[in-house]
Amino acid sequence: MEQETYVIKFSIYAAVDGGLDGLARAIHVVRKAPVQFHDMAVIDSGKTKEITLRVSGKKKDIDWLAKKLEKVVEVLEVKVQAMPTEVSLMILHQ
Amino acid sequence: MHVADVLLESMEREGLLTVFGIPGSANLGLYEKIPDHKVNVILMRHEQGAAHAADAFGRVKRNVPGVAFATSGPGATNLVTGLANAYMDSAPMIAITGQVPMAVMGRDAFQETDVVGVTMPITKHSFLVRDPEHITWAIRAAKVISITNRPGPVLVDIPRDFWKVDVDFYWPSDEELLREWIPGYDPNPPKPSPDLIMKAAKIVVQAENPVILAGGGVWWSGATPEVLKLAEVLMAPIVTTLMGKNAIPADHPLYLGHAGMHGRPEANYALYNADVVIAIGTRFSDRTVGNFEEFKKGKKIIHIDIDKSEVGKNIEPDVGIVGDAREAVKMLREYIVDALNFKRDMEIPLIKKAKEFGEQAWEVLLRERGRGMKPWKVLKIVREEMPRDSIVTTGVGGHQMWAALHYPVYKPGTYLTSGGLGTMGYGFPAAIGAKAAAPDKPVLDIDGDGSFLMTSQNLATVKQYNLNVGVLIFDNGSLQLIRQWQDLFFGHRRVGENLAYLPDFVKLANSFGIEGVRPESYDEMRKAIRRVAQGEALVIDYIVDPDIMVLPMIAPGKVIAPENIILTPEQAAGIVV
Repeated sequence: MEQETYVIKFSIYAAVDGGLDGLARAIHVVRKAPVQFHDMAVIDSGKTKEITLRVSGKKKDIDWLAKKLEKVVEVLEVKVQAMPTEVSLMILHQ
Repeated sequence: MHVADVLLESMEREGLLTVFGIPGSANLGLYEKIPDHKVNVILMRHEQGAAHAADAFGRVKRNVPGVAFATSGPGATNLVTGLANAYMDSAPMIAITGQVPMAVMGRDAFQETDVVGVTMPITKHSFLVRDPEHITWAIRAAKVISITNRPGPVLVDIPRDFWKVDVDFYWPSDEELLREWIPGYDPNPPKPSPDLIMKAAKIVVQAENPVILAGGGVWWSGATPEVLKLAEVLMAPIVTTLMGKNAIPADHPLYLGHAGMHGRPEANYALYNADVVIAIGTRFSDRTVGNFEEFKKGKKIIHIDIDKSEVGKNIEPDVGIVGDAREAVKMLREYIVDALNFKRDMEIPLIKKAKEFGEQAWEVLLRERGRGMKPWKVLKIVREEMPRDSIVTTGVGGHQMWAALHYPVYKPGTYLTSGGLGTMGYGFPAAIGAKAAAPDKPVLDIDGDGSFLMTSQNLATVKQYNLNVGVLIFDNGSLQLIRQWQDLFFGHRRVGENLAYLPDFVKLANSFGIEGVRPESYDEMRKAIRRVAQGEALVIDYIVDPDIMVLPMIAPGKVIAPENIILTPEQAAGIVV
């Protein structure tokens, strides 16, 4: 299957502004990526925010998106995880 | 200490002493304090020009970003094109904008714009300073981010009610800055992987026709000597991107010119026919290779770039090496020479073939065509008269492509052009910025009539600050490349390309107190260029026949294959884009 669904987890360090600018910057990166966006969750943990994205696309495009996210100054760490095929298919059908 | 003083003191400490800008109500509190500091402010006549001048200043200095000041609202939004331009070409600059007071922010106050929000996708980073105590941190971070790794523009937005707030001056250490403010940012370039260097070296030594493709990153990295040494070990040709033209001395015997849509035929021939391409500091722009899939066929790609998101973005390499170009190329050469004991004595056969192809193409391209002085002959005069280390900037359009084709760059760092964004109006304010960065060097802006007109109001800045730059205007009364595309690919339907009612550029210059000339012979042109070479501010109105098309050309979307190179307008018949 060419299109697969992935979870991208990353954290944003909010030095001074509550982290919204960093989050907005990351969203700008995601919206230009050649992937299909499904949903996003943001959890506040003090000075950092933990973000979980679900996106579908080709593996190389997902990897590219992860690299672009790593370039955002506030972003500390990016992890990419493939979703199990059954879940992936379910999300894509939805 | 007032915040305005803190900001200016911080700029002094960071060596940010040259500013291009325009005052407005949101930064008057800052301007008020300028006379008490060493920061030198140059009044531009439009903020777009301030941004381009700051961008060019950073391109020339490389480790000192240019700075642009603007007020809130329209002042800030007028910077946007310049920021995008710097972002696309990886030029280090810092924009410092005044913002409406914190108390009214978000309420559509007079001259309020969320410039941090507006510029997020076109800056490397941006800060809205929300606490007067944070000024030193923001300026320190802005400089570090703008010049390290892949350089780029950074914007710092400061509410105007901060300027007169008293704060203690606190100068964070490098460690504090990185730990407390930007822990996600590593200013050190990634180390190239020795395993990947080894893999790449083995591919390179087995190649029969390797070609080096040098991009703008070679200049930013200071990798020019290493790239030349690698080429000499391999006896392989160097071709460049448009931005890479600024990085490789054109008189090096292995240099074949720049490749791409309006690339030199010999360069396109070599790049297309290579069996291995060693691409250094380039993003493989569509304007360089034409068609990614077609270009990749039959060749191996080794891609070296400091930005890991560029590796594999447009073309999937066989080996992708993330790291600083200078270090990676040095490691690659050392492995080739020391570990693999490889050094070629003779030029690879592709060079001869490429040069033969080029000679045939140029025989067609340089045939007499059109009326008046020919662009390639005028540019030959420019090169002969301007000193080797003089700086040339360009606008965007036909003249830019003529200059790319016929103005050889001998000294890296002396050719500033808007490559990624393609911003008309860049050349003239960029020349002003370059002159401020290198006051001892002659500076010439090679511009178009349409392009120059977009930022020509900065003639006043040239006069006011004795920033003597020359302008050579390719004046053909039209938007040349638009006209050419319409003629070649859009059924000859010329719409919106006719620059009717252009000003008399000589009189326009005179009205700003600057001399202008309109040469009518090559001799007169030479005399005019010589005046610029001697440091005079001069506008040269060069009348060009609009029917002289900028050729060679490859139609957009077509790969840079020799058979796709258009040498005459007739060859473009039937091409659909």
